[in-house]
Amino acid sequence: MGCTGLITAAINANCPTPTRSFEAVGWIGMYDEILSKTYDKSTGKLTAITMKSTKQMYPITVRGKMPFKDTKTEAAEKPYGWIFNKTTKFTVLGYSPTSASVVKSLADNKAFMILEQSGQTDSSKYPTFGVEVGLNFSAGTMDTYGDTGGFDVTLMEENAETAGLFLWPVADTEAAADAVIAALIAPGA
Amino acid sequence: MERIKALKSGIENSLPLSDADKSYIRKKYEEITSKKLSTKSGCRDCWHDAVIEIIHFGNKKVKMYNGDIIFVDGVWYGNHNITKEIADKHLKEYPQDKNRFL
Repeated sequence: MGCTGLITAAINANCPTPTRSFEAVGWIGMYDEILSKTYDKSTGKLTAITMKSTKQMYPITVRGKMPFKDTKTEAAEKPYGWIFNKTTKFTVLGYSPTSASVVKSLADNKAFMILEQSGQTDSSKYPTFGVEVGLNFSAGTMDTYGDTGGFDVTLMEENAETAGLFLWPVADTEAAADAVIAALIAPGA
Repeated sequence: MERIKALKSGIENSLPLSDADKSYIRKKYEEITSKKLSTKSGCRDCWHDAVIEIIHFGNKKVKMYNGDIIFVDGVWYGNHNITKEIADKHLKEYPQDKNRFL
């Protein structure tokens, strides 16, 4: 028997909306600036997360028709069981001291991100990446004459225990989840 | 805050401010807004403006850890919209939550 319990309901029986896309704005924070987090790997829900004093998350906007399109989760088998590697990719626009500084910060520190699934209003609305073990810098490419117009950054969380971890407070409402997002991006207390 | 509200009322009713009142307003203003209060000789509106700012910022000067939220009167509050009034109301009912406020 596994560590997180057995399947207790039919799969896909209620016609859930399949994954389609992410909204253009996600949020990014530094993993080491998380003060506390509460999640249940058996339910896949992150029910609470707070930042350290003066710390906050920041919006990250991705232009184009398919924001965060290279976000993916891959299972990998280890001697002790299955783990999940989660990857997300975005462009830090511009070739400038500012964009270079952002990329350097991401290269030197672990991050975490929250995205918003388009059209979702339930517990699948806000998938998170890096909350378990942090998103590490995996690649950062700047091609002056490329199509993206900046540094293409890839962040990766390796060895996560959950296949997906979604921000969804105990209150179990979309309004509460939206409030947590608003509170996470407020100027740091 | 009661004294500040009384001073505001006094100013609005054209009562003179004593040196002690002015000193108190100045001290409170700098404490709450982290700014120096600039007053010119004979200035009256600036003292009134100062007490209004003290009341305004005083009501807002409460912080929570980013990400934490509380539910009061049907509304979710976090660091983005919390006020002292709401925090006080919450703490009256849940005094054990005092360490959720900075």
